[in-house]
Amino acid sequence: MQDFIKEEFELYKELLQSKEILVEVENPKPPKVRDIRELQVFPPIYLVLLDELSYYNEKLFKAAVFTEEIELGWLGHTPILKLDSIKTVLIQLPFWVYLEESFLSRFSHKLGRISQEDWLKLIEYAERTIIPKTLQGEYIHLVMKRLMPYNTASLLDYLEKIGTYEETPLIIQIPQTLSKSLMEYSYAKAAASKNVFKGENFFAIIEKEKSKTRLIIYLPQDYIGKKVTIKLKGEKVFEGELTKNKVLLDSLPVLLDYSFLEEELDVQI
Amino acid sequence: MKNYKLILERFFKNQLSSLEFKSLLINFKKIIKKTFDKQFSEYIENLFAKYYGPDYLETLSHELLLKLIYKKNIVLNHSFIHENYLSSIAKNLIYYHLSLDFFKTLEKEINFEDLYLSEDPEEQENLKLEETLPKVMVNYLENLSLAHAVRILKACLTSKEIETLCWYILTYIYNQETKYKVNKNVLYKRWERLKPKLKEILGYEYYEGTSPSKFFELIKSELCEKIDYIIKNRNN
Repeated sequence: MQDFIKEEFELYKELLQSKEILVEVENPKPPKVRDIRELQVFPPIYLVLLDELSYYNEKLFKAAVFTEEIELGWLGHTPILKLDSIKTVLIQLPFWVYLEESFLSRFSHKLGRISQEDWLKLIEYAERTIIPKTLQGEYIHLVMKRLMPYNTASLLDYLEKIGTYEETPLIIQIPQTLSKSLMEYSYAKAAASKNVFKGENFFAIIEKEKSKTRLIIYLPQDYIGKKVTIKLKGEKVFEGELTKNKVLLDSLPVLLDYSFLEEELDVQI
Repeated sequence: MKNYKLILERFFKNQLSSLEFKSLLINFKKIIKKTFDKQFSEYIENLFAKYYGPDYLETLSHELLLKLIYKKNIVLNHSFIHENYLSSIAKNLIYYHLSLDFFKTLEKEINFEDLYLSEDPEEQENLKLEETLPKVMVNYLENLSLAHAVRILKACLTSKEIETLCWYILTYIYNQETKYKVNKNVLYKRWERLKPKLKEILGYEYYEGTSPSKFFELIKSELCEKIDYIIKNRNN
């Protein structure tokens, strides 16, 4: 029995350049949510912008990923998009990336916009689909790897930029008992150490000093004036009207790894 | 291996003589034909011939040129344009046609004078996801995916696990009497342990795919009949 998927995957790998070349678009257009855009790389990668996170003038987009490699991306009930104007058919891959506005504007070409009702289906597919342990799964991981440098750079650049908005944050003192209870994470593996987090509705960055660590949380601007609850490890550390969208939690114990915060920090409006 | 960069660059600048243009189209037809032969079944190619007529390769080669004009910016920024690149664009073009409400309309020939003047393809607003795909395309994708899944199962599962999978499928799906010497309770416990492993490999429960019956049939013919043969020989 012939295995076309294997042959296709080998061909795809042969097409990849040793170093990815990003080509600038000729007529840049600012990105908007629901845009369908082609990232100017080879073999091409397509994006559908799902969400926009903005902090003052800086914008970061959450994007679903699509590919032309139909048989490698097809996992059964996979969303398919047909672009008649360029006689191309695309298939969604089950993950998403974050990309900065300037990056999308410079290196991706707008092809159209997806309808409002289909937008939710893309989020659901990206969130719920399990990546198989077949060569199709390996292909999906390979596309993820191709996008990883732009995803990480976009996240870090974004945080750096929003950090330059010199604003006094809202400072919240963490109760000592809670701080002590966080010591249970002191044996977490340093290899997984990560200083930047993206929660459902916030970005957070760890600021390490000699004897303590502070956590800076960036919340959406439209949260200002609204009642917000911030919980850490299930315990309320703040509840009330938000006056600033930059919040500083002071202080956390010095640990090797803070990735538990992705699970344990919760912001509710 | 031929580099198409120079000839495409001249094509974009409208500098090809009619002879060179014809030769480029002949090369494109050969690439499309090879793409059909290597990556699609004869049945699919015959459908193209049936619905587009004998000139289907000509039609597709014109469309391939059209797609390259659209990808001009990328093509010009690469030093080497490999035949495999053109083949990958041709492959998506074939899939595009397969995704259409099957070949209802015959494509009219493209006027290249118009193409040189045209701007980027118009952006489309409110694009919708395809709710249903033509059966021929779903069947084709399903066959590729299931054949690959069975090959992966063959490589990842131990002989005991394959035996267990076959026992379950033959007994509970096909209601066949099996001649396994292993105690039924042991097989059942093994099956319970195997289920999560199958889900991990496939990414879905074994019965949740788009066509479980096709999957079971393939497992039966590709994995179980061989095992059955071994068991029979062992028993004799």
